[in-house]
Amino acid sequence: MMTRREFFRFFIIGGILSLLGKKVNAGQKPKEAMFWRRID
Amino acid sequence: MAKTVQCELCPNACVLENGQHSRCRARMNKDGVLYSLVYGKPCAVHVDPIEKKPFFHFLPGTTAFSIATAGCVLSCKFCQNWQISQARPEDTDNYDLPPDNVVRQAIFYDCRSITYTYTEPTVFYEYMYDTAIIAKKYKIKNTMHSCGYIKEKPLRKLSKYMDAADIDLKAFTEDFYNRICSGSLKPVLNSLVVLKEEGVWLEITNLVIPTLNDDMKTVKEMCKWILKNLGPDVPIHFSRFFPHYKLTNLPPTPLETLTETRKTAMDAGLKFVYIGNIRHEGENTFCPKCKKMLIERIGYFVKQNNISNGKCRFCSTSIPGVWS
Repeated sequence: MMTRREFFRFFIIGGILSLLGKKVNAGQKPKEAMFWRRID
Repeated sequence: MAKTVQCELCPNACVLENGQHSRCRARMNKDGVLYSLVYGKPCAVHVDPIEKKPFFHFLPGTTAFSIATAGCVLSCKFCQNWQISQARPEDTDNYDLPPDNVVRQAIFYDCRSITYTYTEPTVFYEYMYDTAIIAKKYKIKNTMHSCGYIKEKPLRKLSKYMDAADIDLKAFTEDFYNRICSGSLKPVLNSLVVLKEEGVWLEITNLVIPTLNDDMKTVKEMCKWILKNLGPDVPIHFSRFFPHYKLTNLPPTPLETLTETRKTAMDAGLKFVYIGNIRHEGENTFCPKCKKMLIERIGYFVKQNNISNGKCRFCSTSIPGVWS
């Protein structure tokens, strides 16, 4: 049976690791197109 | 300062005011700059047999890591992937897969090639181009299945990294392209010639649709044009039509029409003529000299392959294609 102390220890370590871990890229930004021109 | 731009990627040449989307739905003018909205955001990612593309003379029996984003430069009434080709990028479920991850996945799944397919790869040109450059570094081949509706300059630039292209030659009349696809034939023919000039391995697919493009006189004209401009070695796939999208009123193509089309093409002088989307001996590759069966296929799968070092195992005739 996990004690309250153990639970909070895992909770805090898990929180720190998730903050340090690599962020998931939620989406690419739009990329400028290669073939286009401005019309004045 | 004017914020109007013109896309110079495909013959549609969309002129876009600030905030407008292109006809292909994959580009947008934001404050006077044209952006691709689908870079690194494929909506379809699969590992397929290369025969599904279809490529019959390109690394047979291997798998292709296949990707597509939403959007298309044409609006074919018979489109078999219309749910994604005629959709906006924000309406499809997209993966987050930048170019280096595409190549990583292709290597992980032991694919010999990456295929840009399903919708129209021209709409995700920047994504395809960047992926192709990385793939080349890792000896992964690049192939595309395209409608060929692209301007010459971007096509030549892309060809430096493209190993093979399967181009949909949907018909051989401007009327068909105008009425059924909202496009035109001439740029497609030009793309075929450009790809041949650039040394990209070329195969052609023609979907035979009852009453719309199954006139044998026109098929013969098309084959003569291929023979004259691309040579007799270009494989052509005549695919069976099934009712889809806006053409549900037409029946599937009868087998007799497909066999007649195949015979017309072979009589015109084309050496490698295939029938697709139906089980038939026209799925197999035969040696043009000794007539023996070289590659036996069942659907997308290769049952036997009698091509060794690019030559017929029985009579040593060289068979055009990319075999290793």
